[in-house]
Amino acid sequence: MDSAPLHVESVLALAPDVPAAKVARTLARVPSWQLLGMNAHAVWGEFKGSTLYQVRASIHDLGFKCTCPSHKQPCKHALALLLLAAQQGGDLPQADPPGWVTDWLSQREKRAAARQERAQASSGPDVKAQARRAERRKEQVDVGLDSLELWSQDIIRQGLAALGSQRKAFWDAQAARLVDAQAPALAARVRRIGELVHTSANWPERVLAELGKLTLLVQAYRSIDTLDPPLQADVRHSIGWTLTKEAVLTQGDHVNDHWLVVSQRTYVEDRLRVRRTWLQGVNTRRDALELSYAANGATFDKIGKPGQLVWGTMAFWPSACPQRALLCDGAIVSSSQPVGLGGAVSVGRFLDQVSLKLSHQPWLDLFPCTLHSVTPVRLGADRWVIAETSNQALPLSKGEHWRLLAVSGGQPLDLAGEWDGTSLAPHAALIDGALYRLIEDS
Amino acid sequence: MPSLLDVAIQGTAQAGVEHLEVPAPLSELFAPAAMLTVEQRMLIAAGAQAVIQLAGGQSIHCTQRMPIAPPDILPECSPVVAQHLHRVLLLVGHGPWVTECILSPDASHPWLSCKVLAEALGWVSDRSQRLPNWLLPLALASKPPQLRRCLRPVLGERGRWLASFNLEWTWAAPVGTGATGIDVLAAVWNTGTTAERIAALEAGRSIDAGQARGWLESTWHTDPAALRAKSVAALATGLTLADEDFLERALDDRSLEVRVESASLLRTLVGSRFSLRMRERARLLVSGSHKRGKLVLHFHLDPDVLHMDSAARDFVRTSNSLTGSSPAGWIQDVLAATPLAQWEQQLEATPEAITQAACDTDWADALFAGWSLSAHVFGDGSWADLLLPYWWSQAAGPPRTDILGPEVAFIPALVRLLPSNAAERLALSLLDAQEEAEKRHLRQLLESMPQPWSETFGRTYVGMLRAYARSFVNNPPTIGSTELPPNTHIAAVALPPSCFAAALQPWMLPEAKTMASIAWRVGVDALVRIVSIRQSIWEGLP
Repeated sequence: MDSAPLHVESVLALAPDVPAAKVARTLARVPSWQLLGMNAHAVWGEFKGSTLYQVRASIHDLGFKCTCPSHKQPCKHALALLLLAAQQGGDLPQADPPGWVTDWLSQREKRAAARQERAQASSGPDVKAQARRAERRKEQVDVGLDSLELWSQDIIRQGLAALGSQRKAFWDAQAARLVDAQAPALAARVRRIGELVHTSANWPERVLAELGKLTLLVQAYRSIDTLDPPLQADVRHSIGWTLTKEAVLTQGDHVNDHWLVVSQRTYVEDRLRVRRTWLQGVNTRRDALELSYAANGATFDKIGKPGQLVWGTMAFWPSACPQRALLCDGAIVSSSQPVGLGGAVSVGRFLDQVSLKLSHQPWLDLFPCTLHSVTPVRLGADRWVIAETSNQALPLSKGEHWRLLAVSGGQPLDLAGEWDGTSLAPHAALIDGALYRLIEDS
Repeated sequence: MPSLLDVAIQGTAQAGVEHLEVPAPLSELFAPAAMLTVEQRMLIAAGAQAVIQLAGGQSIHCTQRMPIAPPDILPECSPVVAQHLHRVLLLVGHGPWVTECILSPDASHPWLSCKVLAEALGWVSDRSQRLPNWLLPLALASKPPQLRRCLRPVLGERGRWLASFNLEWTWAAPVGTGATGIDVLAAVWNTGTTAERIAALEAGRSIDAGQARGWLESTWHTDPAALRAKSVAALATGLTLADEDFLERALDDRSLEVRVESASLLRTLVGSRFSLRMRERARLLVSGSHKRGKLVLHFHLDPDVLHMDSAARDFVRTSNSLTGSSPAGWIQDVLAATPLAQWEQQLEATPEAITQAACDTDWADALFAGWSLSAHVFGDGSWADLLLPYWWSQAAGPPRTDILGPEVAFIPALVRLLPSNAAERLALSLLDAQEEAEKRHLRQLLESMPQPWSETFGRTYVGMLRAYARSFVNNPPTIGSTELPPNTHIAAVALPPSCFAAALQPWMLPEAKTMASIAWRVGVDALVRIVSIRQSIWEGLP
C-alpha cells in the first residue's frame, strides 16, 4: 500500500490537544522504550509507565493501539511512537513483529476487508427486498413530482404576483409533500425558492428562474434512462437520493493529491452544525467541496484549516461535474505554512470554466472561484467589485467587504470564493504567502 | 409580444395566454414534447433561459480603484494576541452593565470584555505594535468611546486609511482625508441621516471648528429640536470661547433639551460670560462667618439677586432633574459652575471646614451635589475624599425619594477623581467590611478606582479572598450567613499582571452544596478564566 511520507508535523497534527503533543515529544526518546521495532507496515514498542504498555501503529494510515487507559486518542504513547518513527526512520531496528503486533495487524486487515465487503455488497444481502424498496420509492417520488408539477403550473397560471401575499406555510406545505414523497432535496429547493420572495427588487425573475430549473429537473428525471450515468447520478442526487460513505468510496472517482484547504465556513442548518470546506488539489487543480454535519455537540472529522495542506485521497460523489467529495481515511493534515492559491485564473477564464461546468451539469448553482491578482473596489454602500488589471471585474456579494479591503490595502491579491452566477462571495485572500479568512463562522 | 416574465407575473389565466411563442434556441426544447401545457412550456423555457444566462455570465468593466494604503511602520502584534483580541472584540457590547455582571459573573460579559480589551490594547500600544490588518474592520466598528480611545494608537496607517472610506469610522480616520475631507463632511451635513450628520459635525469640528459651527447655524432654524440638541452636544469637540456667542443664543432656544446642552457646555467654558455670571452668583449666594472657630454658612436666596439679568436662561434644567426649579436647584447650578478653589478664598476656610459646615445646613444635599458636579466638570479631585462620605452616609440612611440617583451618579465620578493611592487606602479600610452599607461602598470604590490596581492592593485582595474561601471549606456559606464572593468580577479586570500568578494558584473552594457556595465557585471561576485570558495576552506580547 502506498503511504504518504511520515513527517513529524503530520504526527503532531494528530494530537488531540497541545499538552498531549508536548508530552509525546518528551517520550519520543529511544531509551524510554523497550522492544522497539519497525517493518514495512508497522512500528511498535513497549513503554514503561505505571505499568508496561504495548504500543503499535500502522505507518500506512497512522492507525494505532496502546494498552494504556488514556481516554485521549491518540494517547501520548502512540504519538511518541509515531514521532520516533518519523524522527528516526530507518534507524529503528527492522525486525519481525511480536505476536501482539501481528495479531493487531491481522485483525485490522480483517476489519478492513469486512468493511470493503459490506460496501461492495451493501445491496447484496437481500436484493429482492432492496429492489422492492427502490420500486416503492420510485413510485412515491413519481407521485411527488406529479404534485410538484401541478403546483408549479398553478403558480404560473395564477401569476407570480400572487406569491407576494403567500405565507411561509404555502411553501412549507409543498415541501412537506415532497419530503413525504421521499424527495427531500427537492423539498429544500422549494423552501429556498420561497425564501426569495420579497428579498430583492427582481424576486419574480429569480423565482421564475428557480421554478424553471425545478421543472427541468423533473423533466430530466422523467427521462433519466436517456441520460449519461454521471448526469443520472446528479439528477437522482438533486431529487433526494443519497449515497452512503461506502458507496461514494466504491463508486466515486478517487483523486490523490496534496489538497489546499482554501476556505471553510461553519454554520447551523436545521439544528445541525454544518462545515463547508473547499479544497483545491495542488497538482490536479481539482476543486473539492467537503461537507460535514455534526449534531448534539459532536465534533467534525479533522480536515484542516484554511491555508493548511492535506495529503491524501478524496473520493468524489459520482457526477457529470464532480465537486462534492469526502476525504478518505489515512489523510494527513499538515501544520505547515500556507501555500499559494495555485489555481488562480483571470476573470474571463473563470467565467469560461463556469460555462463549461454548466454544460455538463445545468443544475449547479455555486462555483468555486479562485482569481489571480484582483483588487477590491468599493463603488458605494453595499456595492463592491473585484477588478483585475485589465479592468474586467466581477460584482461581490451583497453586503460590505471591509476585511477584504483591509488586507488588500488597495493592492492586488489572489482571492478564493464562491460564485453564484450573479456575485462572488469572497472567502479567503492570499497576500505575500499568507492566507486570510474573510468570513466568520455563524 | 409580452416577455416570459411579464406573462408569468400576471399569470396565464389573467393574461389569456394559450400558446407560447419562444425564440430559438429555446423553441427546440419543445419539439419532442408537444403535449406540454403552456405553463409547462413557460417553466421549461424559463429554466433553460436561467441556465443560459448563468452560463453566459459576463464580467463588468471597472476602471475605478481604491487609493493605495500608506505603508505601516509599526509591526503587527503576534497572531496569538490578535486571536485573543478578535474573540474579545466579538464579545464587546455597548455599555457597562455592571448590575447584570454582578448577578451573572461570566467571562463573556460585554462589560468585562470591554475592560480586558481596553487594557490589552494599551499593552499593544505600549510596545509600539498595531493590530493586524484583518482585524481592523471589527475594531473600527467598536462603539464605546473608552474603547475607541484605546484603539486609536494601535490602528496603524492601514486602520486610518481604511477608516477614511466609512463615515461611521470617521473617529479613526486621518483628519481631512477621504470621507473626512471638510468638503465631504459639509456635504454629509447637508444631506446625511441624523447619525451621519452628527458624525460629520464632530469630525468637522476637529478639522475646522468655526466652519463646522457655521454648518450648524446654516440649518439651525429648520432642524428638529432633537437634532439641534445633539448638534450642540457635538460642539464639545474643539470647544472654545469662539463658540460662546452661539451657545448663548442657544440658551434662548425654544427646546429645553437644546438649552440644557448649551448650559452644560457653557459651564465648562472657563472665562465665558455664563461662567462669570455663575461665579458672581456664587459670591452673592453663600457667605461664611466664624463662631468659636467654627465656620457657619449663610445663604442669600433672594431671587432678584440670584436671577440677575439672565436667570431664566442660566438656570435651565431638564424636567427629570433632581431638585427642579427651586432654591436648592439654583444652589446646585451655581456651585456646579464654580471652581472649588473659589470657596476656599471666598469663605477663608479649608475644604474640611467648608464641607463640615455644609452638613449643618438645610441645603446640604444641594451643596454637596453642586460641589460634586463642580469637581466632575473641572476635573478637580481635591475635595473628592471629603464629598464621598457624605453620599455614602446618605446611601446608608432610609431611602430618599428626593435625591434618587445621586448615590449612583456622584460616587463613581468622585472615586475616579481620587488619586489611586488615596482610593486604594480608602478601599483597604473597607476590605474586610461586615456592614452591608460598607460592602456597597467598597464595591463602588473598586468599580471606579483607577485600574490596574497596585501590586500591594492586588495581593492584599487576593489574600483576603483566599482566606474567605478557606474559611468556607468546612463551613459552607449560605445565603444570609454570608455573601457572594466579594467583587471577583472587578478584581478579574483590575489585578495587575504581577498578581496574575497569585490569582491563578489553585483555589480551595467550598463544595457546591448550597446556592451561596455555588455562587462562590462561579465567581472564583470567572476570576480565574478572565485572569487567564489577560495572562495569555500579556505573555503573548514580547
